[in-house]
Amino acid sequence: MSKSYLDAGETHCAIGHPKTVFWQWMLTVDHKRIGIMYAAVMFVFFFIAVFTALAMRIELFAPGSQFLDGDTFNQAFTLHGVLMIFLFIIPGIPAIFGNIVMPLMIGAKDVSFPRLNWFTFWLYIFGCLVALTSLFNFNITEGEILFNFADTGWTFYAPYSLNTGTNVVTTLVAAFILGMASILTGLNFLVTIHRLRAPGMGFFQMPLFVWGIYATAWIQLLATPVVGITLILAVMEKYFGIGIFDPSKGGDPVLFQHLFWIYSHPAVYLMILPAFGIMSEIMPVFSRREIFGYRTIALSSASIAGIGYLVWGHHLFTSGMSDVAKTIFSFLTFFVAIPTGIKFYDWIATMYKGKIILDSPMLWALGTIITFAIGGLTGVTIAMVGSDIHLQDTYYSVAHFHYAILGGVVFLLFAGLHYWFPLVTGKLYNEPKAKVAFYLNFVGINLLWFPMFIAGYLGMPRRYFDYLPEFEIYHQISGIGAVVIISGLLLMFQNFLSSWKSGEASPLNPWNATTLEWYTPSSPPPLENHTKVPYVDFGPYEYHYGQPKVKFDLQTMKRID
Amino acid sequence: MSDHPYVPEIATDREGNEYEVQGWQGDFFGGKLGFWLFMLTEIMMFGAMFMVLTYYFTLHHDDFINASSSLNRTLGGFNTVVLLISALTMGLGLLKMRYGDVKGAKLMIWATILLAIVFLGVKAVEWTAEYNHGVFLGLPALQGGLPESKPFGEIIFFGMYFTMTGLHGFHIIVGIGLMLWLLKRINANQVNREHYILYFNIVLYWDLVHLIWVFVFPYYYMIGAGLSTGGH
Amino acid sequence: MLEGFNTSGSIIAEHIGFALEMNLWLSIVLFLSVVGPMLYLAWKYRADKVKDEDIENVTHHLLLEITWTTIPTIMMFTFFYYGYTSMVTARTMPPANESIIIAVEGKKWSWNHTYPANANGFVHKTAELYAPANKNVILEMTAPLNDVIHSYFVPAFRMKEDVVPGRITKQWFNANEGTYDIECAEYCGTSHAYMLSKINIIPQADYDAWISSQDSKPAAFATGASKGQELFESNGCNGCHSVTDDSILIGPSLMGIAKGKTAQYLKDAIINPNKDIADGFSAMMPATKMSDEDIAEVYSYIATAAVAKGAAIIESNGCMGCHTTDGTPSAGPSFKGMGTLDAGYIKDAILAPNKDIAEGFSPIMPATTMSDDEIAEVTKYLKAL
Ligand code: HEM
Ligand SMILES: [Cu+2]
Ligand SMILES: [Cu+2]
Repeated sequence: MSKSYLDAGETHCAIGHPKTVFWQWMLTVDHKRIGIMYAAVMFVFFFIAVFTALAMRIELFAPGSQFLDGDTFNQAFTLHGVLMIFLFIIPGIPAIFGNIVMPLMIGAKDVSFPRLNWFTFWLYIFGCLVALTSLFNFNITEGEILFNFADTGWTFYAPYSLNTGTNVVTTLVAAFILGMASILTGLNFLVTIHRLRAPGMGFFQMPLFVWGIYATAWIQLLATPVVGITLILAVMEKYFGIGIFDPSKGGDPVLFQHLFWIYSHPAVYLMILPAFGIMSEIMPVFSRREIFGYRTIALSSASIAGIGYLVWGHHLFTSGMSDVAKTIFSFLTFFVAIPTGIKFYDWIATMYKGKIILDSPMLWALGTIITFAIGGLTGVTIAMVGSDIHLQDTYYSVAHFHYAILGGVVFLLFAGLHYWFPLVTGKLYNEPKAKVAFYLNFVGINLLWFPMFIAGYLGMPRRYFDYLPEFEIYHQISGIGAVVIISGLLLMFQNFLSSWKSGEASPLNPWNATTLEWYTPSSPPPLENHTKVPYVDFGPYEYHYGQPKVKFDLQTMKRID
Repeated sequence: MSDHPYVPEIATDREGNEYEVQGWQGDFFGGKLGFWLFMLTEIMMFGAMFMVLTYYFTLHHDDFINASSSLNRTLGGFNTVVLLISALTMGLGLLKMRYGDVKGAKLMIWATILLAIVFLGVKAVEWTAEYNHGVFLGLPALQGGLPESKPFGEIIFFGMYFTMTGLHGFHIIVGIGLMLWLLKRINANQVNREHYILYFNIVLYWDLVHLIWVFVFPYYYMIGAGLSTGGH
Repeated sequence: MLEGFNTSGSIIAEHIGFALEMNLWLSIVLFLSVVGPMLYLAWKYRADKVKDEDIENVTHHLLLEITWTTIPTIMMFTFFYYGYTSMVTARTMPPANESIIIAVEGKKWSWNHTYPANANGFVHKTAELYAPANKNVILEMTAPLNDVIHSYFVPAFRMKEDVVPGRITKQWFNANEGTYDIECAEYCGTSHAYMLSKINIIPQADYDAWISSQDSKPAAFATGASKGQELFESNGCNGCHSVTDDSILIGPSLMGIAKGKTAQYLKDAIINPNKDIADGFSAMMPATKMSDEDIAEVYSYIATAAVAKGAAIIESNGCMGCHTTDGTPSAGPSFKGMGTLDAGYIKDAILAPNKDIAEGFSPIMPATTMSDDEIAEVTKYLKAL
């Protein structure tokens, strides 16, 4: 059997030719290995954040203080938010599957700047470490170490972030470094997609996941610098008091919110577009037919990325912005909803006259259609200015973004984990277990967050560590949901880990898919991917009676159909 | 990474036509595109700061004019000229390299470095003068709520002035570093008449650095030009 | 459900409520238009029912595509429209001359309401809001410059607007009689979850009567609390300081400080709070303006708050018939000095008084039934003498 990229020695390195497996991983520039390392680190942070959330949920199980005080709770949701957003889901899908799968899909041997990719990964790690140090206050003189994470919420709103005594500066710097890493990833992918497509492959022959990564990369590139400089200005403000955000010096604290959301709103599309890409890969494969409305889906990704820049003001409907501005921002926001909706209909039309195979990637995809539909439609509710006056900063909006991010982005990330697991590891996971894990997650998220829509509508504000007794029942259902979903998560990852170790070997193209990442000579793929770069004069999803139309001799990459 | 020379792969279509495959190795246009994209992020970053500045300029118009009028336009103008010339020398160097005049190119790079150092020196003189007038980040004049505080608009103006010129100065320093590295690569013949993507990108970088200054200068130094004779 | 949430207590609540309801029903339609076909197709074309030859690659259907673009688009515009109109209702302030304008200050972590001066020039200040029924009320809100952003949220009225340091933001309502909750909806730190208050909507006549008086609260809400206590609460001091026991909320407990410190000390601490910080606390207390008389009231409240309950219990049980507080013995020994006795002894002395008699007194004291709580209050009182 030929060698795969996971075998010892099968890698290019940034510096020299290290002998040990350890250094071969640390210095690797191979896009697949880098993607795996991102995944490993990210899921560790993901679980830390999940268990922080569990602690919050337990605290909220009954009114009054259970075992956390107000300050600790505030640090907990900040930690949860910062880890989930900056360390996990913003880099998330691009860093994992953008790295592992995108070059394979376009027939490239690696990304355009492999060394930069390696540097970016370590920049990301550095950012994570800075974020971790900000958890603690080192009081050298008294030899104490205090747990002292920022308590600002992941949004760092001024003037609160300027006044609080916790380690906000370190956290801001961490977010800045992670932002740099995100910019460099986007830059690398943009050039890769422009330059390294296999001969013959035009933009409209690219798989839709690549379109998602492409649209995302533009957002990473153009929006991240704005938040980067905003964080730097906040640091300057904190150290030197230059006054831009500080009302006691005449500055305008709401300006911070504008600058923050100019980035952070596009950032939510940055999370969801590659996730939609995964959906677009899974739907045709498990319907055994060509996708419906390829161009519409591709172009709607692009238009979402574009319009997404113009709607940040919908986070400021109660911040004292002028009514004209509110109206405009509300109006524009609905224009993001439309292309998103159209995608959904396209995906569902893809099932029409197909052959629906309910394997776990498809289950996750279909489940996400339900949960993301809820997340998206409740987002429309709060795009209505009047409704948002009531719902802003309540649990309604928290439930909305968890449905959209957890029930949309993260669920699709999980769908992708199942879908590409055989490609990445060369093993098959345990299907019955995977199905049980899916149902636990699906039931769990709905128990966890649906009651919170009601609580929010009834007036339960967010970021409350204690609440009026009227809301108790909703928090209790939610607490039970948290336990259910977390057991689902644990089961899923247990399945992945044990299957990777001792699962059954996967055949070359286990799902019988049409996209190029499956047409490598070995499973998992060898170091430089395809044996030869194919000539691409076919679409990404060409099926004929449920079978891939295009066939290759995998040793020569010659067409044999 | 493999050390043997890179030979592009050939892809064959069904008719047997052959197509050269673009690899990541030796991709001149890819390198250029990547760097242009990076320049875009710089523009977004400085652009956001200019937006903040504009916002406060409309809010505190008079304070801004006052503060601006106290900057030293002679030195600022001199520095603008220095940077413009340095952009010229930098560009000329690249032309020389492409015509194979390695010595001339190196000379031009040294000239650019020299001009960059002059720029920093003048900047240092300016900052010192401002410091001696009590105007500097963290000094009482720029802290709100103290008796010796300047009016708010001026605090913002100087806060942003030091932040932005500081950040710009940082870019100049990085630029000098890049040029020294470039000289090393030229000496090692890794940048030459055929392979000059690194040179090209550093020229691009330097262009951006001077372009930003071309916006910084009028915004900070010139808006108050009508008010006084200028200079500390 | 929060009190008054369902009553459509205000016109804003009605309009926003309508927008939300319309949105809910159309959202359900949209949701079903996605999930319904999905479930149907997943069932209809399930793998074991479809032969490979029957699979068709349908990739376009113009009419369908136009339908599922235009209908949702129309719905989106409908949403936008009602979002817009309900915003106009909520954000268009009624004419000032037909409204009562109440100033709101939000600070860590309390709400203060300041009313227009009455005919005598007296200005009311309250922690809870009192306003007349069916009358326009405009809130002009701000926060101290060194404070943070808060948000004044009244779920029952579906109204909310941020309270920003250095800015004045406004919102208004016109509500029916009742009591409604106020919550802070913009995260503001440690006690964000406790930054609560209430809106009390009362009959116009009651409101007028109150405003023309100098009473701290309308008659129906009078608690008999002293002026000092009213001030302590309406200025939000109780959000951070306890006075009746020594528990630490945000700031230090003020119980017993009157013993060692003068009213002048209190005044300094109120006007310039962060000059001199007690160990282990951070400088976060907002400065408050108060007249000297008011400070004297607060001072005497602090001085007596901890023991007021105990004093009242002793009073109502008739203990003072036989005991004094100034050290002179009467039918029984004086209370002064009993503070040194341990709590168990005091309890026994109340419940079974004649078991163990102090020298020189006769066993004449009647046994009294008191709850443990009451005994604790009494003990506290004795200790403070
Ligand atoms: C296991 C699943 C999860 C649970 C049980 C959970 C629970 C919670 C809870 C209880 C809060 C605090 C709400 C409040 O007090 O206002 C919260 C906030 C938040 N969560 Fe999650 N969450 C989960 C997953 C996620 C995921 C996957 C993400 C994003 C990738 C996420 C992002 C956030 C963010 C950004 C906040 C806001 C933090 C802030 O207010 O600054 N959560 N979550
Ligand atoms: Cu947004
Ligand atoms: Cu608050």
